[in-house]
Amino acid sequence: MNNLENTQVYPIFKAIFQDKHVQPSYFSQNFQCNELDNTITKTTNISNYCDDFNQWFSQVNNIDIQHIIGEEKSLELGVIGIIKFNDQTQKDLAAYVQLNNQSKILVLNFYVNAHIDASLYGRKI
Amino acid sequence: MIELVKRYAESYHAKHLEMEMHDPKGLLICPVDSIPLSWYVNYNNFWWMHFVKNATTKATLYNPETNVGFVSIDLEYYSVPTFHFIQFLRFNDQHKIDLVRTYWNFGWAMELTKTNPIMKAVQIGDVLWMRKDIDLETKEQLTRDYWTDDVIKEVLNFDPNLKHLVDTFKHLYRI
Repeated sequence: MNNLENTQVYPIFKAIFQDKHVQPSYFSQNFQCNELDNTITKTTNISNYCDDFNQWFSQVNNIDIQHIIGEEKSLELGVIGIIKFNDQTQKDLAAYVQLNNQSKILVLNFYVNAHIDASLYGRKI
Repeated sequence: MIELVKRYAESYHAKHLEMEMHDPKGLLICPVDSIPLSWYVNYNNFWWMHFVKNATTKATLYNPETNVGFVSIDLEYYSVPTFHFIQFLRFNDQHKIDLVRTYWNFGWAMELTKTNPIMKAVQIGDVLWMRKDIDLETKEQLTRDYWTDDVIKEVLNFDPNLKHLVDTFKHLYRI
């Protein structure tokens, strides 16, 4: 776990990957809301982003974390795992998180294992 | 070891993966199959890297407890949107990369479904280079053979600014 529990990034890690629930107070005002495809959506605000995130993650039964790479100095976090959905399907998932000095999320990007997977098209967080 | 992770990321800026950084017996893990890292390095250096215009490293991380590295890179392709990806790297005791796993942003998967001459070339090359029934020399020859006059014409009709890319392949492959 890279001794993550005693670090500044742990509460955000826990919210995203264990509790699977975020709220606007976790995010920096400079956070650029990305859809899951990383296209910046200028019309989406942080509150809407959180709603989309929480709704999408309500489909998730569990995230089996395989690797965590935390960087305390730069407040970055890399996560590799398997996301298991309520419908029994699963996907390999990677995520990158960067916080600011106030422990607010500046960057949050999700990635899938590199292959074409039509079932993911159109989904967004 | 973080220096090795950074050096690996710099390979994308140089458009050339260093074979000596990899364990030749290592594997690139794909969802349905795995391929030797030596194949992966050859594939990148002979084919895929030439489609990259610019690379920007967004993050390099390393966990000394697990000997695992993590790179986040944005690649600017010719004529297609920026490709965001993450690579998970595992190092062996000799400090060689022995496992690579690549993750894309979801939008890139959508780009692959679009039909333009560049994405078509990338896909055809990907399939060709992943074949296990032909040797390296044959793959290189088939890659050269891909760039027929008709393909070159199609690429330049799609975007005349791609002449530079076509010239690169002509020069490299002595077409």
